[in-house]
Amino acid sequence: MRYVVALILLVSLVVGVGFGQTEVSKTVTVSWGAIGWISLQVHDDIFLGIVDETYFDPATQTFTPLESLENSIIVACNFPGGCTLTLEAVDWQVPAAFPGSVPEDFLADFMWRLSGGTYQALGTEPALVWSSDGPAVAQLLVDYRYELDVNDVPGEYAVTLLYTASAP
Amino acid sequence: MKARVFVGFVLVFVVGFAGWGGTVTMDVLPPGQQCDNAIQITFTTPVDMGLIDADSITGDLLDADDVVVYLESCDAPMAIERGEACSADLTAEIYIQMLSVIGSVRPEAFEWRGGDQTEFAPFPGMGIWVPVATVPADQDVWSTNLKFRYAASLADPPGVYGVRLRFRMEYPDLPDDLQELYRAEWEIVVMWNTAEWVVLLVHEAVSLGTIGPELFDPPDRFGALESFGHPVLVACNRPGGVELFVRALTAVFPTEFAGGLASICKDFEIRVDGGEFTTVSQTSQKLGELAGPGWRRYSVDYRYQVDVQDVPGEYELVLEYTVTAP
Repeated sequence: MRYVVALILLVSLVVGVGFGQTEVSKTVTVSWGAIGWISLQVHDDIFLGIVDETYFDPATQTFTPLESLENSIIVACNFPGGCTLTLEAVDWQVPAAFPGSVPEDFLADFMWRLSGGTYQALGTEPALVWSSDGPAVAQLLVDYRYELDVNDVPGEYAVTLLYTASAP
Repeated sequence: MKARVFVGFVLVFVVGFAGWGGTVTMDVLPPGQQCDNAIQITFTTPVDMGLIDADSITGDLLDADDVVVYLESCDAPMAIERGEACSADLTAEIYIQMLSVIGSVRPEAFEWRGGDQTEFAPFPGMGIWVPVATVPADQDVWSTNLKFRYAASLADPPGVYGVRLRFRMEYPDLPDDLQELYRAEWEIVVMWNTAEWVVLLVHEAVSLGTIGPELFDPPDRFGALESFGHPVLVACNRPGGVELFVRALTAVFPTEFAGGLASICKDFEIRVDGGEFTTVSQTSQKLGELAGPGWRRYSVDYRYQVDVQDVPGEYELVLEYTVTAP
């Protein structure tokens, strides 16, 4: 009697054992976000030099300009519509004895260009330097030139350039 | 001698009852010439702790130090009732021992509590008596709720598990020869089933953070969004083991994002347990395996390599982890 009943017990237990799955899948979501961003990195301040008589060529009666070439500017943005980079002069310094009108005559002699391009005069209104029609990273090289003439009286000259990167 | 035969009959009765389960009451003769009222011992057998299956293994295990599933019984009442005429007779002592196991039980993982034993404790060994309680001579009724639990291993093979427990009640104040004569013993069975399982537990959703200009490293490099140490637990108790795979299932991204899911996959990397980062793909790629019964907790790291094409918006990548048994 004892063994018969024990057997019944075991049979009843075995029936309860299930057959497991052979494949199990689970999903997990990994999320992140992106804000619209613009990055602008501009070269350090530039000193163009001190003008003396060596810049003047008596034979041709012309001046060698002050120049600084291939100054790095990096602009990047992730906006789907792209972004633009503009340049304008926002401040300037000339000697009190500068004979021309300030800033017009002074800025008219200060030129800029993307390396390899054509020089254009700096103005007090934003000028387009570069633009993209989508997310982009651009490493730009900018040349600066100051056209000397006899009106550049002794003293300190400076101009503050404002680069602005913006998305539409 | 009369009493001993009577107890022996009761033991057979108990085992016979076990197949159906439930409460069992057995009568044993009390010691002493003047007492004819039987002592009633009531207990439950078998105690069914149920089934351990994949559903028993929960996400709590993802971060646990040791992966053990505790299977716990309901209260299993046990009572001893002595008749009035016998109430002042003798102090009784009750003991328990683990008699034998059924299936692949690891005895050290089986614990009990009840009587004076208020905390779960394992048995010191097979066949060793452990005190349960002392019933004073003037106490007519003694009862306790026994409780059992088993620290199931994720590698426990499928099948029937059980533990046979033997109880003893004796009277230490009786002379030795009478002690043996009036000693009562009975057994209960605690049993449970372990199903065949393949278990996969995956961590909660992960947020990698937000892409901003700080991740741009001029002139042309970008950082990455990273999140490390997310647990994925795989367990199986079947021979042959299992393999763990992952694939990119779907993705959500801004409408202006170029390239869609494929582009996200190209920049989305995963690594396991500090290994090499590899990009995910829409086809399953193997992350690891279990060679046989057991479990393993993987620590998963995620990395999204940012670039300028990551336009503003919200991104989601749904990863599907799959465990397959070959």
